[in-house]
Amino acid sequence: MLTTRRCACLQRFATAKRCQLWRVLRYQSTVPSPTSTIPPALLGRAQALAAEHAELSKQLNSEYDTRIAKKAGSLSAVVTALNGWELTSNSLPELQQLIKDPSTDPELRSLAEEELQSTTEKLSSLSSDLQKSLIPEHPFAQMQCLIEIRPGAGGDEAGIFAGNLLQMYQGYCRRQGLRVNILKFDATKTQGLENSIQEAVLEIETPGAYDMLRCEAGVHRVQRVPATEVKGRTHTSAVSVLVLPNFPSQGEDELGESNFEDPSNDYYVDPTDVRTDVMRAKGAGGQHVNTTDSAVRLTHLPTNTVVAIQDSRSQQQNRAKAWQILRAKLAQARRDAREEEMAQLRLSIVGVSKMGRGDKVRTYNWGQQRVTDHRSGITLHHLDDILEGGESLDKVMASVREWLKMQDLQLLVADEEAARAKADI
Amino acid sequence: MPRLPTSIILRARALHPLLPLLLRPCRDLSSARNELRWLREHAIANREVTLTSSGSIKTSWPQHLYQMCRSRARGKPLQYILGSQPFGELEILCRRGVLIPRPETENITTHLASLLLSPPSRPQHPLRILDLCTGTGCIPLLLHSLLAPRTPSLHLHGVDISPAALTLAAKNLSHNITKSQLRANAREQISFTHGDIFAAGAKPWCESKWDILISNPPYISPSSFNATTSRSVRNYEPKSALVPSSADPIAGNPESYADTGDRFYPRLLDLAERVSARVLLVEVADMEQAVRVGEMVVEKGRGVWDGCEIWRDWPAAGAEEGGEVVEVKGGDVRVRGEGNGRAVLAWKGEDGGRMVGKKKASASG
Ligand SMILES: C[S@@+](CC[C@H](N)C(=O)[O-])C[C@H]1O[C@@H](n2cnc3c(N)ncnc32)[C@H](O)[C@@H]1O
Repeated sequence: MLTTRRCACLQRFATAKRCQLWRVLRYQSTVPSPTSTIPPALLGRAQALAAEHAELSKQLNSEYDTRIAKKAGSLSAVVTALNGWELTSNSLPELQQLIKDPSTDPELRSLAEEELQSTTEKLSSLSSDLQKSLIPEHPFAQMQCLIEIRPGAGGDEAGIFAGNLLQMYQGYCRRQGLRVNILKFDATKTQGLENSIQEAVLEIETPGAYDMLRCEAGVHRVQRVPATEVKGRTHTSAVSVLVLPNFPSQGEDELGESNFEDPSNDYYVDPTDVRTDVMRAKGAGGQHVNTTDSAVRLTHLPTNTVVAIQDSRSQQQNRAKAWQILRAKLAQARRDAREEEMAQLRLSIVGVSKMGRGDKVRTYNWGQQRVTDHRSGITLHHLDDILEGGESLDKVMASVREWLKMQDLQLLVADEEAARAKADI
Repeated sequence: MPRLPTSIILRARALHPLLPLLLRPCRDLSSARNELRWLREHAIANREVTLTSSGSIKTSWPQHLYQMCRSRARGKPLQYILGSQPFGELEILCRRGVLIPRPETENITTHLASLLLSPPSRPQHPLRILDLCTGTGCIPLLLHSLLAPRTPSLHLHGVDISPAALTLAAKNLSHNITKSQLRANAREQISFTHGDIFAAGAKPWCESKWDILISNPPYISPSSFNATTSRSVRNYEPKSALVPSSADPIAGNPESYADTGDRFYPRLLDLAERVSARVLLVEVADMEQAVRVGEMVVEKGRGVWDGCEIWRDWPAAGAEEGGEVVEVKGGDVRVRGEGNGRAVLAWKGEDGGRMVGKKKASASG
């Protein structure tokens, strides 16, 4: 409130001095122009969207249409952010002139200096709001998700670390109030009676979980002295974490009540592309044998994606689980393929690359009780709290989400520039 | 049975002290690990916690687990130890003296239900299905669980010669209603009666009309019983459920069925005619038996059956067009799916053909 009032009175002073301002403007080359805090490409995009919003609003005034209303609604955040940013940034040059003008009286100058500082701060947060409003929502953002955890090289040690990560995510979900189930748990006990995991899949049933957890995808690395290591040497092993979009369905059903019948949908899987193998021992079968062979393996032939489930004695349940995981995998793969294509395009135009799925994203170092995320660069020393899925993990994840946003922004700028370059040709 | 390689036994022992016991009946490590997990879950879920006189807690589940693994090592079927077998979405209770339901039966029953429900054939009038040799009752129960949600009126009836099987079938009906795996109307729509399918004379179930006759009869020939069945089947499951008894009268030509497991099929075909069934589905042991049953169907002539086909273990799998055929009595019979030969389907009239998804009634023979 106070700021607004001060602003208003400043404005009065400023108007009085307008003729002087123009004169001084020519000497202001060292002060960064306020627009430089937001890439011109993005500003252009924001303005184009605002113009589109205005056009849609006009249409709505003459005739209401839910589809147009929805579209306009989705743009309103950009419009609000742009207005706020423009208003503030427009007040900046006048302040700068006042300060530089030798004839400004000292009282007004100190007021202007103070004002300049707070406005600049405000502007930087407004500009980041504006930029973020331009990032399109991730298409899977509202989804539930699956987390698949698999050890990489490193034998039992990697398997044990996979178990640590599984517990970390279970703890995190419990604390965040997310509903979580274990969909697949394939583990053996080691000599030291710890679980060594070959593969685990968690299902997080809360909508929006995909957006919360997608920052966890990638290779997680552990550095510690394994329990089995006699010479006390530190080993490094790795576990890969996949985060997949999940659909609240009961999987495939031979009676044909699938909800995924739209072929344009990422989750659509043509049943004729999937081979089902029931892993039954070769032989007569039927009344001749009575072993419980309920394992089900699905192979998506076009992509050779294989999902095998043998957790339950019920072949029907195993099949449903296998379909659920297969759908999630294929949807993610399709999305990755599209992203890859986009990335190639960008690379060829502006040279922005993105961290691939195979890159290591985080290191957990036992000796130093430290966790470093290689994307955001954050390092925390609360290893235990992180492994329990505690608040320190929130901090790490928040920093990665912020990093992801910056990546998205960079891509957005690149896309805009590419589009402009194309338009210029 | 060949000896297991020592290396596997050693690996099993390294993983868990009880695994070598389970390796004996399972023969491979991954099934043994699955069984250990299920047995362990069962032991923990059913544990009895008692307080000793000194007030300390005594839980017996590890001992229970150990005993179960010992029984399993001797060949006792897992389903008798745990007391049940999943079948579709149902849990079928299993007791010694009654045959354990097989996954192949689950597959063909599910496939039949999916045909009955697919568009051209949706039943309008009350659908009546007769299951002969019903055992645990698994077939009518699964059909009810699959069909009832989309079939306004159903009647399913199971017949078996074994009183133990009938008691268990009735239990299975209640058990699955209690567990909400079956709708409450299953109690009125499913019934079981005692009966010998070879018995002469009128029984209520063979006096009325049925749309579909389904059966998984004993089909193993006495001479191959020892060679083809696993030790666990031989030692623990009722032979009368597996091998047609020699006392059963042989319908038709005695020579051609001698010492084969085919004895039930001519009788089932006669009964199907008698109850005016328009669809017949019988389970068989293998492709040879399927072809022999196919011959019996074709011999009945056009007036009785209009078409016939053979299903493998997974009838829904594989190519829809340009499929496999097998020659039966000079004509071609369609073979569907993948796996071993597992069932023979026959239909009568346009109506019967439509029920199982045949566009028009055409004889494949
Ligand atoms: C192979 S079992 C099938 C059981 C069950 N339908 C299933 O699929 O699991 C054959 C059943 O036929 C019964 N059975 C044997 N001879 C019979 C007869 N003459 N009349 C009626 N049932 C008979 C046995 O008691 C046994 O339950």
